[in-house]
Formats: sequence, structure tokens, C-alpha cells
Amino acid sequence: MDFLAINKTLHIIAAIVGVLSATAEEILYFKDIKDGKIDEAEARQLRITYKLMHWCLIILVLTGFGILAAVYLKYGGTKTFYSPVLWVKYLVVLVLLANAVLIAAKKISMKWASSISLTSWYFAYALGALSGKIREIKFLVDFFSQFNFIIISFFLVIGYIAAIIIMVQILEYIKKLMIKQ
Amino acid sequence: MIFLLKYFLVSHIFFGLLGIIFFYAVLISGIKQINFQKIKFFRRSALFGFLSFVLSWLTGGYYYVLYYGAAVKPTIIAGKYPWAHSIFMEIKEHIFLFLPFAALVITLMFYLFWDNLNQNPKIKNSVIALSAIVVIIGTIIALMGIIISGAVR
Repeated sequence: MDFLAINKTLHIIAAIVGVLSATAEEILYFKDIKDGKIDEAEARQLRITYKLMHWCLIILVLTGFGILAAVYLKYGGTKTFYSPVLWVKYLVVLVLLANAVLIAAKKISMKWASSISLTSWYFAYALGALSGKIREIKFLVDFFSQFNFIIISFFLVIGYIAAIIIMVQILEYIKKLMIKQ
Repeated sequence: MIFLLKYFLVSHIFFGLLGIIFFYAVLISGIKQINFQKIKFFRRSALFGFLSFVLSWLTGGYYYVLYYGAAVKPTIIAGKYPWAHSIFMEIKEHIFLFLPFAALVITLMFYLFWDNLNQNPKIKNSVIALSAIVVIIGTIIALMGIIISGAVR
């Protein structure tokens, strides 16, 4: 297994585990607030998933740069480095990191923080998975090549913001249902 | 590119990212409410972050002096994206110089002035703000690295 393959494998594993732990955290949170409070054992479970997400994020960042370094060493600079999908993925990761800082500083409500976290994980995962698939389909490659970097980035960012707003509504609805029960 | 230079380039990226991660850990833990029982965590994170930046500095500097100037820079200047060098590399190589010093200040604060941090919230806030600056500058430098590498076509 060469350097590129190792990085790709670790990147995919970290992405899957990260998405699963973000989902698990939301499920545990909804389960825990059924009785209106979070006790020490429940808080410990949430801390474990939170730590797991942090570790996955660290591995994702390291292996993400590892993949680029391997591509650079193998082929030199390629289109990948200036791909809007890559840069929007970095934006999403930066939002995740800023979200964690705001949570620690208690400057963001949990309603927004959990929606941003969950949406960001799924959005970054979808971007990674879809961009690979799109590159294999000629019709889609031709279609997207009509647009420049700024236009594609703009629509991806708009999609990301819309996804966060929709996620806030969905999570609030589930929370209300859970508390009613 | 000889094997040693490849190794240095990868090390430069890896240690630079590691430095950012360590100072991000300092930032997140410091922002919460400094738990003075966690003295070891703060000291180790800052020290490892500082050492990572120094290693990134040395490996990147070696690569820059021996290979980048002679082989990579002319390719970028002659290519489609000359601004990748004239703007981003010029900015990167200057900001990059003071990052280990900022990291050293934070590390020394945790080792030499822990009591002052404990007693004076203004000093604590300044150290946290400096950690945030290190993380932000480190992140910008990492992203500039991608722009520069992408221009070598």
C-alpha cells in the first residue's frame, strides 16, 4: 500500500466514523432529554462521542492534506487543488472547528450548534462521496465544466446554509416530539 | 525530487498541521474555563505545538532553499498561475517566520507564569487570544500551501 492509498483509506474510515458519531450524539441527546435533564452517566456518553468526533476531525485534516501531498508528489499540481468541492470542504471543516470554539465559549445556542455540527459532517461526507462519483460520469463532468470556480462554490455554500436551516427545523421538531413523549 | 526532499516536504506539512492541532487544543481548553489541575495538559500541548512548528520550519526551510527556489518557483512563474508564488508564497514565507516565536511565547507563559495566569484573567485572555491568532495564521498558511502546490503544472 503506497502513501496515497494509506491516506485515502484512513480518510474514508475517519469520515464514516465521524458521521456515525455525530449521528450517535444527536440520538443520545434526544434520548437523554426525554426526562428533561442530562445526568452524569448520560453526559459521559455524550463526551465520548464528542471526543470521537474530534479525533475523526484531526485524522480527516491530516489525511486530507496527506492525500494532496501524495497527489502532488505523484503528479505535481493538478486540477484537484483548485477544485471548488475541495475548498468548500475546507470551509465546512473550518465551520466545524469554529462551532466547537463557540460551544466551548458558550456563545452559541445548542439548537444551532448541534444543527451546524450534524449538517457539516453529512455535507462534507456527501461532497467527498459525490465528487468522486461525478468525475466518473462524462455527462456531469461536461455539465459542471461550464461553470467557473466562483459559481460552483457559491451554489455549494448556499446549499450548505440551506441545509443547516432545514436541519435546525428538523431537530427542533424531533426535540418537541421527544419531550412530549 | 530526491527521496529526502519528498520526506521533508511531507514532514513540513505534517508538523505544521500538528502544531495547529496542538494550539487548537490549547484554545478550546483555555476558552472553557482554565482548569488549573490541567497544568500538564496545557504545558505539554503548547510545548509539542511549539516543537512541531520548529520542525515544520526547519524541514520547510530546507526544502525551500534546496529545491523550491531552483525547481518549483520557475515552473509556477512560467505557468498559468504566477500569482501563486508572487502573492501567496511571498506572504506565506514572511508570516511563517514568526509563528514559532508566537508559539514559544505561549509555551513560556504556561511554564514560567502559570501563577499569573491563575490570578490575572487579563493575562489568561491574552494567552488565549494569542493561541487563537496562532491557529488562524497556521490555518491560513496551510491553505496557502495548497494554492501554491496546485500552481505547479
